[in-house]
Amino acid sequence: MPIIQVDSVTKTFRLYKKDPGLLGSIKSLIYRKYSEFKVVSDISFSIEEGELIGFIGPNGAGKTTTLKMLSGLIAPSAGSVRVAGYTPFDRKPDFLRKISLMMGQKNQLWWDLPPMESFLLNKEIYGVPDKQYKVVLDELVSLMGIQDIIHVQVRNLSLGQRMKCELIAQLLHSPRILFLDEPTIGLDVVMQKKLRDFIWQYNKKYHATIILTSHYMDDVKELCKRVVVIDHGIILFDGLLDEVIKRYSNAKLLSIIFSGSIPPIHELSMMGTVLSHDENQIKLEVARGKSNEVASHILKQYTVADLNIEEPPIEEIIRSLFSRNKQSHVSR
Amino acid sequence: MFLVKIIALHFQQIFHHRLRSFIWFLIPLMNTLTLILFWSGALKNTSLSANWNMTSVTTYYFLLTIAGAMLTSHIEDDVAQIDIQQGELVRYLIRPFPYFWIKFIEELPYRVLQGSYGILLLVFFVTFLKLSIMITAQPTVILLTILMAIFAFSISFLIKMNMGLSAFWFTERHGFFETVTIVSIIFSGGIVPIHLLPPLVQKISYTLPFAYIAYYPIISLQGQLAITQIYYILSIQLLWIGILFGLNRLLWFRGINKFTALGQ
Repeated sequence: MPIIQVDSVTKTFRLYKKDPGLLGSIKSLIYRKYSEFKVVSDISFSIEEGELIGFIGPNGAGKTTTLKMLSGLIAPSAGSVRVAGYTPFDRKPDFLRKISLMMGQKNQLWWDLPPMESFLLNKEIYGVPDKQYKVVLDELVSLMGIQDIIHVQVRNLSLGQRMKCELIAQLLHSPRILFLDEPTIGLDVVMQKKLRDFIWQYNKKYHATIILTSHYMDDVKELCKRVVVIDHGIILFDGLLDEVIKRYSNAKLLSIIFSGSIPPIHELSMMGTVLSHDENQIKLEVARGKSNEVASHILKQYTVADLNIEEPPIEEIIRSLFSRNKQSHVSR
Repeated sequence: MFLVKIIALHFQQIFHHRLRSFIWFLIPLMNTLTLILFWSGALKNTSLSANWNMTSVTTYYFLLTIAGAMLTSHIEDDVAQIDIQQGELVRYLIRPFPYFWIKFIEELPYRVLQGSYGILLLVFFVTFLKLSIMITAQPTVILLTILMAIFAFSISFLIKMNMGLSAFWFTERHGFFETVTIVSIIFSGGIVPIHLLPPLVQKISYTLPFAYIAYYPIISLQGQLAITQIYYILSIQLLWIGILFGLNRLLWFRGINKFTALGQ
């Protein structure tokens, strides 16, 4: 049985539209125009316990709104959401003890006190027994490698250190479900990697269900087998990350290093699209079905030092998926 | 027990800002001292009544400063601007602890600390500057006044919390907040003791909740109320707490459906 079940969920916000200028302001004193804005439109999906899935989408796609509905912050306008057997918006204490929501760069730690005091507050609020608290805290602190900073004032910590402490504060009650909204935002690449490793280990060790939204494709590529691609409040794709590539990329990339200088470009252009080239290297995009044929032709015709057939970068595929969706929205 | 720990942890946070808290305490104190100066001139050669002379007036204003610091909540802007409009409410909503009570616990240490400054200052004035004050010595009255003070804080907290919750519906709130503040200062005896005001203003004061926040606890501690009057005031306070709490629940459950967690 899925731990998260979302059926035909729609979320609509009522927004006030003001006419421009002073006249618009005066008019708004008497009459205000409101319009309905659908942020999420009839989405359905389910998630099994222990899954780590990525929510991908551009700004305003509906990712965070979906997370807010799953964590009980806002109620759906239509449809039903069930998380761990609860209706999230009821915000029953038992439900809240099972989940955790972390929003990138949002601080819940006390700014002027060491993180340890915020950890203790969460311990009391979540009713974590002393023994369990000690075990979990020790484990999380050592996993994160922050033994030396938990007694330092939060205001004196770097962003990366704060994010680690934030994550620990969110995990002290051992939630079964984690909603991570842009957890690596603003972090340098080293810290991003460390946080990703931690999330991965937490998922494996505790069999926790994790939903992650991120603008960094590296987060999704490294952590999530399954992705939900969302744009304009509509789910464009829900499945394995590898499937996105197969389904939405009609091309493959040939990276070729020639022994001497590259052959005339117009000859290669007849086989595919030349993406880049220099003295002896070329990147050629060819139709997915013809990649083997083109590769063998090149190997026969030219003196090749190295040839690789690669999938296009996932970022490119997702970007083209979004732009396709955008065009279809415009034409509608 | 866990509540005590949560409150203790919040005290740690407040103690870190002890100096800022002290400055906030000094601002209303200046108003008090000005008013005492005014009354000392006005009552130079006369008394208002048998019970109201310069000693009782001075005591009233000193206790008013303590009551203002200890019993008057100031959470309305936090609730409206930071929690609702800037979306910080999110971090409270995802925790298994009611927002109402966590805000109550957050506010409590501020009031205790500020009230302590007031008490220390009063002790200083009485001990070193030989200030003459008039406070009841009856233990029953003192105990009932403490209860009255707890109810007074609860009324103030509920009024301010409800004002803050109005931000679920209104984005422009300053005019409303300022109006309530001015009305509450006048009708809580914040400028002049209520019984010295014109009869009509006195009547209005008794029908509003503000007098039960500062005026009554002060005159009770001064020994100006009989025991039966104290019980009557306590029951009116409970009535206000009931009404304001009911309104609070109504505002919360209606408002939370409108909350969009914007900016979060």
